[in-house]
Amino acid sequence: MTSKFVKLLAVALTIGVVAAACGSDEEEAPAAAPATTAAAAQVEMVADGSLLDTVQARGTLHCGVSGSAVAFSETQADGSVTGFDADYCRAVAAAVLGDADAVKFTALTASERFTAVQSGDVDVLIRNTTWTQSRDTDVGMDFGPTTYYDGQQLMGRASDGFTANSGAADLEGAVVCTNAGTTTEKNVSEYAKLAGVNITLKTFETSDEYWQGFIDGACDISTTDGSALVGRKVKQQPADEEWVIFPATPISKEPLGPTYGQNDSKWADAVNWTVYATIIADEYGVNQGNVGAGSSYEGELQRLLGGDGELQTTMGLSADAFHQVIKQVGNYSDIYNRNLNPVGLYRDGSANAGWKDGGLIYAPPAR
Amino acid sequence: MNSTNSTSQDLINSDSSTELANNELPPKVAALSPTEWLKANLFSNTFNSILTVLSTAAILLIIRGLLSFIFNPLRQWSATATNMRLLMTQAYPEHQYVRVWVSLGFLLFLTGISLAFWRAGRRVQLSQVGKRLLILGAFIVLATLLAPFSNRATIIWLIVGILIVGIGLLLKPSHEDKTISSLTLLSGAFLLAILSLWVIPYGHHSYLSTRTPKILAESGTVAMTTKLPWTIMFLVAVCSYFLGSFVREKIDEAKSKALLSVTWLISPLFLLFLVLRDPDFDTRHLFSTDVPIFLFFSIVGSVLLLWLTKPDVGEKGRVISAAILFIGFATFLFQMLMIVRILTLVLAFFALAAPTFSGQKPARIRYTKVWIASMVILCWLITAINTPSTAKVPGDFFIGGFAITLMIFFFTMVLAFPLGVLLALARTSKFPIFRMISTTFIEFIRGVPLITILIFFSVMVPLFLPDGMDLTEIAAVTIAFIIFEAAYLAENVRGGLQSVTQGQHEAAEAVGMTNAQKTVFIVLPQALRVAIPPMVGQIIATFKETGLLAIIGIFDFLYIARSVIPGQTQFMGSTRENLLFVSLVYLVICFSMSKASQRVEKRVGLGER
Amino acid sequence: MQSSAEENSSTLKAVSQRVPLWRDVVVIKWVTQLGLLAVVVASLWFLAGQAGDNLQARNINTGFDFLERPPDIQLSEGIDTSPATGGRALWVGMVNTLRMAVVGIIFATFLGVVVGLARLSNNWLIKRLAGLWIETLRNVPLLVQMIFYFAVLTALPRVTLDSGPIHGWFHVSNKGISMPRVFISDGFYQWITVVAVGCIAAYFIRNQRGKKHDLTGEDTHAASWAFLTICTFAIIGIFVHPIFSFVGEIFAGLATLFENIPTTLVKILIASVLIFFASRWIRNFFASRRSATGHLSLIDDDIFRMVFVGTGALIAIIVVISWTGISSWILNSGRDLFQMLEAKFEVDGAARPFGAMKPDIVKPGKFANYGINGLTMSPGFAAVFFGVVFYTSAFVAEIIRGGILAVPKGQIEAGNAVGLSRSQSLRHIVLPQAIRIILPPMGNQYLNLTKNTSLAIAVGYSDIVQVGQTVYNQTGKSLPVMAIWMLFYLACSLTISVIVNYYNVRMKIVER
Repeated sequence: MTSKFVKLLAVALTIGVVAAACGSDEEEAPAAAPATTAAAAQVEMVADGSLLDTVQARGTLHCGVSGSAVAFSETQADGSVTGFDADYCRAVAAAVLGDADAVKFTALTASERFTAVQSGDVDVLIRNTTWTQSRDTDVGMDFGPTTYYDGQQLMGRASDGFTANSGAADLEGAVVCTNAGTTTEKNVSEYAKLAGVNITLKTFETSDEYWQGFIDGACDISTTDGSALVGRKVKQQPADEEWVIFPATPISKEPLGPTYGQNDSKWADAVNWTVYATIIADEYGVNQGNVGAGSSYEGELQRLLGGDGELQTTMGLSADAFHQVIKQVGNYSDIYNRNLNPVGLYRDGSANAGWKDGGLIYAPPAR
Repeated sequence: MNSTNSTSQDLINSDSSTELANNELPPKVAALSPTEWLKANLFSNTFNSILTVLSTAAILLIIRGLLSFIFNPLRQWSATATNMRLLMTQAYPEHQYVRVWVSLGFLLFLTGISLAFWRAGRRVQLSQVGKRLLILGAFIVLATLLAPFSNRATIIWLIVGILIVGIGLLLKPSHEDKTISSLTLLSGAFLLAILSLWVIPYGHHSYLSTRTPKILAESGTVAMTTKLPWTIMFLVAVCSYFLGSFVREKIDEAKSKALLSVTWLISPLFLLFLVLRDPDFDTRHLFSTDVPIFLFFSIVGSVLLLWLTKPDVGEKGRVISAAILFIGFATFLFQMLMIVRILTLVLAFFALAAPTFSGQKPARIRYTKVWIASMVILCWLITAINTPSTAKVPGDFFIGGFAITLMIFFFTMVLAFPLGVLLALARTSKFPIFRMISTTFIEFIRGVPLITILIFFSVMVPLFLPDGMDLTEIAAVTIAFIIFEAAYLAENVRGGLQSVTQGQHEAAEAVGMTNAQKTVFIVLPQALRVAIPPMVGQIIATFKETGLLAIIGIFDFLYIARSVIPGQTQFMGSTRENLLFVSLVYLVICFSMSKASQRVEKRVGLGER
Repeated sequence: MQSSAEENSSTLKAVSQRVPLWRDVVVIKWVTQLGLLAVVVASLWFLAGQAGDNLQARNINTGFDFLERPPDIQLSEGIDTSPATGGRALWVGMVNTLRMAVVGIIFATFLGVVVGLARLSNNWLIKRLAGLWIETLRNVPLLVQMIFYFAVLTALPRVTLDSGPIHGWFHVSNKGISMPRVFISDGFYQWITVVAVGCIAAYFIRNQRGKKHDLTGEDTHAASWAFLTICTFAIIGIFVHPIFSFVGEIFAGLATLFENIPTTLVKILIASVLIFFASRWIRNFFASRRSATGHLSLIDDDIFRMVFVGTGALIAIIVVISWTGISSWILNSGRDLFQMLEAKFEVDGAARPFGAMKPDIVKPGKFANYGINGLTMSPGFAAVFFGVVFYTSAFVAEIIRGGILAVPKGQIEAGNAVGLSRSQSLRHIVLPQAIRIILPPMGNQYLNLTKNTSLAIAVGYSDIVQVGQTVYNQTGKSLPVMAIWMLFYLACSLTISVIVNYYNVRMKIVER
């Protein structure tokens, strides 16, 4: 009898240990994203309000980036995250929290990124994400102003007879390589189908793999956003003008910008106007080096940079929020030139020039 | 099927160990002259001669290919060298890097002491060492001649090779009785490596960041100048070994060995969550909440357990234990601190296990001591985990790279083992529903590839959690690893359980043991001993499987090598270099693990069954 | 008193009379088990409900409708590179996985046996090389190996119209490896019918000669005779196979039959089969629990088992009867199968059973490429293939070596003593014993290999996981895709275990 009873104990033990194990696993969660009980309570308190209040209560911005995209978000040798996208994360943090370094970068893969926004893991996703109709509606995302106008292009070799004027007809029989799980895959197969040529499409998890394939010749054509093509060409081209980017007009439109969850207007405003502030400051030529206090300016700049901070305070930001953005991170040109010039991308003459110079970068007026 | 499987594994292991035995005790045969040896071993007949010639050609071609790959001027080895810190710890802050060294130093200290206590190492004949050096030197010379080196490098490497050959020739004719400890050899090799750090400037690579230009390997910073820390590490290891051998004679060895084992198990937790993570304790919260909870549970629990372990408590105790368990589960229905729930469940666990450990007063007090010790550890850890870290990193976890590979590996092993044992017990129990649940679980997990489970956990887990509950990706994939490995370990343990003979069960029942006592004290120890070889194989497999983290985008060792470093503007296209480095690290670790386990198996007389 | 109650395994009634209900062993045992079951079911229920709520809250649709809709993806290789529907895309992925698994298992076994024997060779260099092979390959993670092979493969020279190394026969380049291809042609199914007839004939011949051998003791070469018979039929079949085109008519008849069977009949058939098996199981069970004197004693576990089997059968019957879809699915798939087979036999008389082609290189536009004639391994396929084959071969080699070494030396010596030659003693003494040790762990290795093909995702080979991930990236249907993955791999694992267990059992019988 007694021994049978002990069997029951063993059973209970089983349950106990399993439960305890589960419990301790759950406890690992705060280990990974440390938050004091107090902070958690605060976050819960404002859960019904806007994400803006949550972020300000938390004191850090959770920003989703790629973490391994050349010039857009690179993880450097010392672990820091740099790049065009990363700088916009910093800009949002500077506007919302006053401190450009109060950012936690979450590196996301292409397939994780939207779930991460939906489940609240990240507050804003700045991970070279193309603004498309289905993502805006079906997937449940909202998109901020485009920070970088990109377009998909192809790259071939001059020794294969490619010129900048080559087109779809030249692709017959080509092995085309690109990233898996992105819009580029779909674009290029549609492009080939329209021209009635047969191509073999090979997709890879990471971009470095298909570039290796292209350099070694396993891929005849490589295709992705034009910015990445230019970067690779500048850095890795074997001989002068051996690699040719074509067609001159990109085969697709890839507007890249910040992305956040649906139906949170307050948060959306804070993110959007951070981007606009960098653009407006650029239009006036105010940059990281020469920015002064808001009160030293007149008109639009005075309003924007906090001389008369009424507009910012109604948004829920501090009066000098955008002054901090320019001072700590820089204006659009600063961010662009710092990150994209080293990989051979220049604003002049591209779609990313200011609207006065014939580009598409344009901000609504601050008033 | 599994039992046969494990037997055959045993067989394989036994073969390798017998072969090892042969290596160590070479039969006395008359030494062959080189020509005789060649004839006997390489050119015994036409077929063998052809094979020898072909394989020599293949080896030379492969070495040449590998060398011309490695020393190709196009290779960007500076990508790997510059990013060494990223590969090892990802973004751990530079000014706090001394904590990494402290942790490593502590582990090396433990290693030194343990090596001394377990009397590790064996005697190696000097002539054998000479022979090995001879082969190594010859290989270096051969490789140098094959490699596309510059003249200067060729000369340097040739001199190194010839030097080694010289030392080998010097040692080879020494007498059979002259032996040297393998530990001495090992530390000698490490010493040479560390000395080379002082001479050759590895890792002194500068890089220009796109934001602020800076040099990583500034002299004087603890983080990157590795020669001083490594020297200290070496001294710590050597000194602790001598300390260990000195202390060993003076104290109770069995007790200290047990203490050492427990330290090994716990220290990674403490190093990880207290030293590396450096929690920023909130004193007010500590004294208002955490300490009272700890005191309450340890005092109430001690009293309760002291009473429960009395041999004559009987039915009442069990009812009370069951009630505590029930309360433990009920706590999940109410809003309260997680720590209270966990501690209540742990108390229920101890209370339910109490009758198994009932007995005289010393035994009861020992049981209570174990309870208090677990309370100290649990409370401290949970508090530390819940406190924010002072290590400010840009990412969402304070450590990454090789460190996170090791961390997930450690958690997997520590938590999968008990779960695996429970599953195995359930699968072999006489309770049909337990058997059913356990079998279904094990067979399901074993039937699908790890990658699908990992993807499921990393993508889908947020969807299965109730509102307000949050599990970071790292915790989710650790759980995925734990359940996956537990299913495999369970099968290994089951093989062991089936090997325990019926006589053992009967003998235990004959002396009046309860079923729990029989399982804990008689069956499991024997079963686990038998299951060691397949379990070690499983542990090595787990270590290799950590590479799969890269596919789901965790910043582990492989992911940083494969995706992150080639994503840096200045190191585009450096995947192959990094991959070669990563495979070398995995190879060295897995190879030494499997060799060490074979040696340990032989020492404890396992695998001979 | 208590101990006697325990030892006797007395009936339920006897126990419950002696102790109160809440201390009754049997009651406690079942309450605990049912309690745990309830906890497990409840937590699964809770998690599923939570998932449902969350999915709804986030507008994530989990239907399987994507299987019918165009997936807008293109696959790099497979039987159909631009699949019309999501289901078709996943099917292509499954075929790719299975293809890799089957080819991998064959080559890994072959290579593993070679390396394992090399490890036992008396050539020092070969022995060491095999050791190096094993230790290196099994200690580097497969994933790292695959990525590395891929990097090496893409570094091969580019393909040109006169690529080598043996132009026109064997091409190696960074677009893969291309070699001559032997394929089954239109007459194949008629020919295989001839061979099947040959097999039946061979079976009878072998039996007859085997009997003769047992009676007279003379060496009748039964196996060789059987083999020769099959060969004869195969060769004759090449010339006469058109006479078997009538088989197609049989299949056509079967297809019509399946089309006309009412579903009710199928339901009744399935139900009666289920009832038959359940009742046979219970009868046998009773028989096994009956003591020699005919006294039947059942403990609670036995009752549970009977209830379990009974309920299971009952539920299965209810499901089959109430859900007509199952029966009509069986009928439809049977009809489709026979129609497909019928189509295979609809060929004109001159068709050949086999065809063979040399590989070719074509250059439709600017790029040279392998044509469709040869058997081509793409770099992705080759990387996964070399990865799983090399990695598994290291383990197989260790298993082979262990199995052979496990046969005591005395056995071979005994063989020598009775005058057997080296190859005879290897064939008749060592191998039969070694194979019984080798088979079970080999089965495990085959399972592992099949599961390991899922790492193909890292090198862009379109296996089920890679295709599935692409599909759910495009459609957002992650949950259904994962369910399909798991079911597919479970089915594969189950199939392999069944095959290996079958051989294990057969080997055991041979042993006696």
